[in-house]
This record gives sequence, structure tokens and C-alpha cells, in this order.
Amino acid sequence: MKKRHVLTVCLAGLLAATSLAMLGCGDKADKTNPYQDYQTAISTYKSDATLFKTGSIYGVNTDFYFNNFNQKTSSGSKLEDDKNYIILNAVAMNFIEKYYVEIADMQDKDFAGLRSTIQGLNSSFEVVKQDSKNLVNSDSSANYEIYNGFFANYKSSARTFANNAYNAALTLGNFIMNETGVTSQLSEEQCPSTVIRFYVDFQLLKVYDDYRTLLLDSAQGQELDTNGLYNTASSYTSIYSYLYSKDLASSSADERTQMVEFFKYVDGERAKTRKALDNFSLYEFVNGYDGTIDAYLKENEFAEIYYNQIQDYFSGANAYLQQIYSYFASNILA
Amino acid sequence: MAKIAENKDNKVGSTKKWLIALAVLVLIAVIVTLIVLLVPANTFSAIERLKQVSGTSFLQSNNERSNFNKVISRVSSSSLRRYSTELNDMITLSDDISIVLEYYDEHMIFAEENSTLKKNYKAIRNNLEDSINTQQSMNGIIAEINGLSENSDSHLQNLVIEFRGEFTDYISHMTKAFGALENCLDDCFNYTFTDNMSLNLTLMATTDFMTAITDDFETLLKTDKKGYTAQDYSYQSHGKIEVFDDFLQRHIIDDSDIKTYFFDDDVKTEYSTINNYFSTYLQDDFVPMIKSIENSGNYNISLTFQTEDSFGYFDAAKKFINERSA
Repeated sequence: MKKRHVLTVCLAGLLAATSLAMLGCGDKADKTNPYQDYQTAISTYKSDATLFKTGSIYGVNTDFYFNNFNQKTSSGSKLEDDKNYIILNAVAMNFIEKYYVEIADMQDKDFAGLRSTIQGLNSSFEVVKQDSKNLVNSDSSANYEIYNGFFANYKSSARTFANNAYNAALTLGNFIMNETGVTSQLSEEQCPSTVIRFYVDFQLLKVYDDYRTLLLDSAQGQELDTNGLYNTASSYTSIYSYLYSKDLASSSADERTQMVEFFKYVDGERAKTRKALDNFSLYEFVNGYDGTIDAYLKENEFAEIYYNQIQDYFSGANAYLQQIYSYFASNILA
Repeated sequence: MAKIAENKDNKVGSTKKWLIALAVLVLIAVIVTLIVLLVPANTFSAIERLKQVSGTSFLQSNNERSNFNKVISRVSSSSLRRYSTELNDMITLSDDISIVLEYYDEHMIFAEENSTLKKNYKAIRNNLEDSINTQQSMNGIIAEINGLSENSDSHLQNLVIEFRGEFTDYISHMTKAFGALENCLDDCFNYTFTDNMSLNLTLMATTDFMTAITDDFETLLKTDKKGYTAQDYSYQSHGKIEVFDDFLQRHIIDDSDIKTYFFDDDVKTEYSTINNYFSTYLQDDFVPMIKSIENSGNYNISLTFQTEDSFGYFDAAKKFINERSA
């Protein structure tokens, strides 16, 4: 009897200790509002005139235009490089700048995700800032080949910065969606126009993230001039920009509910396309397999299926992103 | 007194054995339940099998096709030439099966692993595996036919009928696989643009075509047997297979209706009207309509309704199955 009693007490103690340890090791919520972090970051980035300038690209005004984003020719003249980097970064940074103020008065929330993304963005800012400075410093003294070498570094860190900008912007957008109940507000008879605008801007941000995933991730930020899919997607980053200058059309509660339902389908199709992009590299396809799907199939038996899904989404006769553009233009925007 | 004690001991021992046996059974049941609950279903095995079969189904290789064409030539120049249309239709149907397999293959890799996929993956995998076995049997019979000496029409008939039996099994397995795949495409792709009424109706009609054609072949197996003559032979599937082939060209090869459904109000209206046919006439599927497709002429659908249809639902459903150009 004594032995059993001792054993029971030991087991209970072990269980209690394990529970306490698990509680202790679990993620702690971060209750400190990172509003100040955002404000400081935005102010710091804007004040770096070497890296960013105020400009307009495809009709989108931004204070986050990648400055000196140029290659040099052998004669020394400068040519602005891949505009996709500039427009993609501008859209994400504009979103952060416009909407971080929404969290100013929020309390008693778990801000850990937000803080983590702004910290990631700050880290990549330090790198791209230095690379842009190195480029500018090399401008007068180095020949065009060395200059372009510095530009390659700048371009690479600009790509990382833009990717982190989307991480930060999307995390912020999801946070605001969830914490302010945007979806239920949209179904109310009287819905503030600022809420509708936020929702539409967030859907546009997600579309731009689709293009970022294709152009900066799958194509590794390289211009794939020989690929029809790349060219079509690239051209659409400018076309989508027209939507930013348009006002919202007036809408009823029913119409807004239909809009929310529609974007659920966009999110669903997007998830399929992201799976395809996770398993199919456009860069590898063009450079490693010479654009030949039969060759890629030897490495991945589902390559053609993934490629077809990507094409269905981004290019081709009835490309979903082109149809979604028409939906924005006809139903949501004036 | 010693005997009574002995009996008592025996009884106690027997009870103890039953208790142990019961405890063992309960333990086995618990272990089996845990295995079923905790070991994940290998749903990917169905997708892999689909990928394998969609590229290699019957008559999709040049070799198989060439060998089967030799069989058709042999039969066409014999006293059994009445089987020529049926054998040629087997090529059309096999090609159509390949089209459907490829369509499902394009989609299933994106299927959400939910309860519907877990319920249906075994039916998909097992029926496709059975189709591979049946395909091997068919190729065996084809080789035998092509190896026959010149004057053996009765042996030839036996082999053709045997082949028909295997082919019927083949299309039956495919029909069951399509039914399970259809369930998955209905339910494992929530909130995607292809998850719409035009897809649901197209896939439902596809499975119904296969069901109607399989039923025809099963009937033919009963009515045309070894040693039977031309008077006994009544092949009824030609019209259905021709219409099925055309249907797949219009709705699967050209899947613009499925892809544009969400964005095109005209397409939505068209399929809503077709769908209203079922709501109004309470029919479960297209099978009766498909079964009434005539074997000759313009492959008309001969099924009619006594009920007056002023909304045009019946006509819309007929057009969906068999829209023929003027």
C-alpha cells in the first residue's frame, strides 16, 4: 500500500511539473502596441533620400520609389531597371503607411506578429540602405561594369526589402480585418466609406502580392523576356495600378456582401495558385529547362499541372486575374 | 467433500479464462480503433494512381492502338463484320475516358484533404488499379486474336465476346472511379472559381453518360453470346458514344464555361436553366435522357415529357447534352 501511495504521489508531481513547464515554454502574447515602431520606421525610411524618393509609377504616387534603380550602359548613360520592383514595393509600403494608424488606439491585443514583421522590415532596410549608398558612392568613380555589380547587390536587397514589405503589409491588413470586424461592418446598411476603402485596398494588395510571388519569387526577380506568362503578368502590374486612382462606386449592404463572397473565391483560387507556385519555379523552367515542359516533367511529374494553373491565373484568354480586374472596374470602383 | 471443492475450483478457473479472453478482445478492439483514428489515410495514393493511369489508359499508346486496329481489320474482313461499329466505338470511348481522366488529373492535386476525399480515395485508387489489370487482360486477348490463323471465325467470335466482357469491366471500373472523383470535385474545392454549377453539371453528365453506356454493354453481354448469330445482335451504344464524344469536346476540352462562369451572367443563366430542369421535374440524373439517344440519324434524344414545359427547362437540358450544329 505504501509503495502504491508513493508511486501515485510521484506521478502526480511529474504531471504537475510537466504542465508548468509547458505553460512556461508556450508563446507569450505581446501586449505592447507597436504603433510607435511603425511610425518610426516609416519616418526613417522616408528620410533616407538615397534609397527612396517621391515619385509616381503607373499613376501610383509614393514616397517609397526606389531611387537610383538604374543600370549603366557602356557609354555611361543610366537606364531605369525592372519597374516591377518599384511598383510592387510602392504598393506594399503605401498600404503600411496608410493603415498602420488604425492600430494607434488598440489595446490588449496580441501584437507579436505585427512587431515581428516590422522588425524584419527594419533589418532588410538596413541592408538595402547600405547597398543603395554603395551604389551611389560608386557612381562617379567606377566604370559601368563595377557600377552594375553594385547595382546587382542593391537590386537583390531591394527584392528582400519588397518581400518583407508584403509580409508586413499583409500581416497588418489581416490584423485590422480580424480585430475591427471589417467583414461584419461591410454587411451593415450604413458602412463607413473608410472601411470599404480599406477592404478594397486590402484585396488589391493581395493581387499585387500574387504578382510579387510570380515575378520576385518564382522568377527570382529576373526579367524572363522569353516567357509569355512573365510578360503578360509583368504588363498587368501597370494595368492594375489604374484602379488605385478610382473612387469607390456606391454600394448597398447586399452588394457589399456579394463582394465579400466573391473575394472568398478569389482567396480560394489564390491558394491553388500558391500551391502551384510553391512547386513550380518559373526561373528554373525558363533557364534550367529551356522553357520545355517535358524536361521539367522529368523532375516533377505534376509540373505541367502546376504550370497550367499558374497560366490560368495570370495569363491566357480567360486569366482569372484579368477577370478579377474587370470585376473591380465594373462592380466596386467608379 | 473433496469432489465438491474440486468442482468449485474448476468453475472459478473457467470464469477466469472467459474474463481474460474478453479482456484480450477489448484490448484488440481498442488497438484497432486507435490505428484507424490515428494512422492518416493515404489519400495521395489515389492521386498518384490517377496520374499514372491518365497517361497510360487503354489505347493511348501507339502500340496498343496499332494492335487493336489490326483486330478491327481482321473482324471487318470476316463474317463478323457486324461488330465493326462496336469495336470502332471502343476506340472513341477509350479516347473519351482518357480526356476525362486527364481533366480530373489536372484538378485532384489541389484537392483539400477533407472527409469527402478520405471517403472516396479508396474507390478512386482501387477502381483505377482494377482498370490496369483489365487493360492487361484486354491486351492479352488482342494478342491472341492477332495470332489466330485465317479460317477461325467461330474462335474469333469467342475472343471478341470475351474481349467485350473485359472492356465492359474496364468501363465499369472507370465509371465507378469517375463517380468517386466527381464527389471529390464537388466537395474538396470549396471557394475556387471552378467550383461552380457548370462544373457540377458537366461532371454529373459525364458520369451519367458512362453509366448509360456501361449498362448498354452489360446488356449486350447477355444478348449476344458465343455462337449467336447476326439476328441476335443489337448494338445500341453508337449514338450515345458519338454524343458523349461531342459533349466532352464542348464542355471539357473547351472548358471556357467552367472558367468564365463566375464572371459571365449569360453562362450563369444558361446553367441555372439547365439546373431548373431537375428541380422542376425531380429527376435525379440525365441517365434516362441519355439512354434515349437514337442510334442513327442526328442522334436525337427521343425521351419526351407529358408535362408542358413553358419555361424551356427540358429543351435546355437536351441542348446541354446534345447540341448539334445546323
